[in-house]
Amino acid sequence: MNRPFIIGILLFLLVFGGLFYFIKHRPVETEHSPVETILKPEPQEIRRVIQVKLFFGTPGSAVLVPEKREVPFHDTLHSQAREVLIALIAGPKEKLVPTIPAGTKLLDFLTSKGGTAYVDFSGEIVSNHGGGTTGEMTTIYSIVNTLTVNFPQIHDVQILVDDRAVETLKGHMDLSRPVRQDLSQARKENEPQKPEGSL
Amino acid sequence: MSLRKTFGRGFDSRRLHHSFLLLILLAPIAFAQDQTVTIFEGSKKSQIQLQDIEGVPFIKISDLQAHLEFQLHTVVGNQNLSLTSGNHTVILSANRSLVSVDQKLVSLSRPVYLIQGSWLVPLDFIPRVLKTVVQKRFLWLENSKSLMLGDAQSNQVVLKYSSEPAFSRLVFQSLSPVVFTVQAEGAWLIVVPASDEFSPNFQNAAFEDGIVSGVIIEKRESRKVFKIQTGAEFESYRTFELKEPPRFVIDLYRRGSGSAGPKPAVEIPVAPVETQSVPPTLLPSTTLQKKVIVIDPGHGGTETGAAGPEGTLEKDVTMGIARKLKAIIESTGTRAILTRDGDQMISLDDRTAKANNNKANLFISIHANATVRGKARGAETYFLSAKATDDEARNIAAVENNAIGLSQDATAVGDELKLILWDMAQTEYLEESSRLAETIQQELNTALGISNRGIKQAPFKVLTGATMPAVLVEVGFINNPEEEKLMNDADYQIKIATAIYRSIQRFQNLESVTQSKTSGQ
Repeated sequence: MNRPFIIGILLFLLVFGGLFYFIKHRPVETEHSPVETILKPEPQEIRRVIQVKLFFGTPGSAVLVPEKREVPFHDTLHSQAREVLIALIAGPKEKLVPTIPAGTKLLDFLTSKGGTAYVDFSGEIVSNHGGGTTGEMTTIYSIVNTLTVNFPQIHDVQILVDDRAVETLKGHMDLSRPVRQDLSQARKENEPQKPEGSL
Repeated sequence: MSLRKTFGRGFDSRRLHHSFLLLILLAPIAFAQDQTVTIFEGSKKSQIQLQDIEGVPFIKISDLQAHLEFQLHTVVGNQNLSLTSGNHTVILSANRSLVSVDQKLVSLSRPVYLIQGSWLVPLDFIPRVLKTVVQKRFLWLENSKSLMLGDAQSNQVVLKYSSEPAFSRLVFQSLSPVVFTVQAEGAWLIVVPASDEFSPNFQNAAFEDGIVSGVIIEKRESRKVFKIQTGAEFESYRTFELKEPPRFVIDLYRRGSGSAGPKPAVEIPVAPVETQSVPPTLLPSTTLQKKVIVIDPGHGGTETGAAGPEGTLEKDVTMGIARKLKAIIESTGTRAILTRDGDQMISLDDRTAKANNNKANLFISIHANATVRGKARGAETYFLSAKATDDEARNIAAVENNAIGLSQDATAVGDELKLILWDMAQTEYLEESSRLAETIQQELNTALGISNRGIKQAPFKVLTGATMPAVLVEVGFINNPEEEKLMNDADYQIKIATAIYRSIQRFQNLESVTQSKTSGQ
């Protein structure tokens, strides 16, 4: 009479206890990994995210607005910049306009000693782009400004498409050479303007 | 080499037969060297010969090892090769296209071959396998078969050309100084670089100024030399050097131009001459008797430009306005030339070249704008941004562009010679261009009753090479339905064309005033 009941309770404990244990120890998805939990006396400093500014567009204008975002921290410029570019491609979370055409993928990324970042995008950055000088500048400067503002080591950015240098994206801005930061179209109240020509 | 060993026991007889046949067939041609991979590392550039197997290029792993730091060990009866780098291990097996990368299988486009003791892999081994295991960072450019190792820089010589009434100027610009000597050989001037540690960023070019007819590059005793073919108008030349960036300049004088300055007629070895901090000022252009205005209708052909919500194409709007502007200008007796006369695709360089070759006084590129999203309205006038043109930046840029052997032209793959001709010639005209832009913008604002969007600067490809005041006019936003409708309207197009024409008139009046003011200096 009592046995099934006890077995039931035991089963219940087993199942929910297991579930509870699993939830408690589920890997990665918690904000702090077990390693960090052990390490932290100063939790603020060990957080594995950094705040970056992603430059997105605004409707009906060439103005770029930096959106503050937290992205996972990486200890190399290469990985960190990739992370930032992937977030930029994914688009804004606030009410801003995405700047990279849909379907565009980041193929490769490299920085040279001279501080030039080479960013290789898939062909969609051209084929899915609507064109127009303003549209083109929005796309290009969102990439260039995002990289140069977040990474002072990056002096300028050469945009490649499908492993090749291109003359332009859609017939306007010269992409045959690296493009330098231009914050003249960036909203200034959010973003202190860098002195011109500062290297 | 033992074939029995080569094929091991795991293959079925058909495959064995196939591979056996393949090996026999390939042995003599396997080392036909007709393609290379170019490696850029630091200031060094090197090449790896590829081996052709059934028309597909293969690369020797050992050749890559020299650049990419990994270890190779032959394992299990010499039929398997292990490649290690850091914690990563790659196992390759002869005649198999599957490669184990850290215990995961990666499929290559072709099998790996072991021929005469050399392991050969298809080129996709580089991005698919090496990229993930090698510590050293690199960029693999498939189209140009270039491997750019981190921190690459290469000393490239960029040739620039500009034409003035009294002389033509050729500038050889490099990242680090190269000593050049010049020899005269009949109608040719031979420019010989003292070192060969650079790659000319160059392709053969023809000119139409009568002084220089062309520049070609030639290989002499394994060294590349520039050959300048002088024209009938050529009288003499002089050379000088400039620093930051290092430049070697040859001015070729026109017959009877009475040009100032030393004009040694023959050979001068260019010793590292005193550096002039300021380049000799260019002679002021002669008064504009015959005016030529080049109008560039943006886009064309398959390159349609932006499109409106109703389907209006930018290339048609720009053509409509350009034709009307041409008609208005020509009605006043001034010559106007369009960069394209129909709906065809013309390269941006050719558009500027047309203006330069016709010695145009003004270059006006007409475009219709579009935003990524949302309605904008109004016209904008652009001129080339000075930021992109500062000397140092353009030098590094030009050099780095070519450091990776990049080419806009797929047919030029493997050919590192490329010329940036008239590169950034516009730099000298920025002031005039900004005044022209200002005038056009004012007239457009008045004519169209729009709020002033102001003049703007951007590094427009089509403006970089123009050797005259040059602007790009965005007549309105084609992705705004109201402006799209207006742009389709012939009257509106005439309105825009008239406004631009009026500004050209005003600009030229203005310039003749400033010229007479400054001519006394």
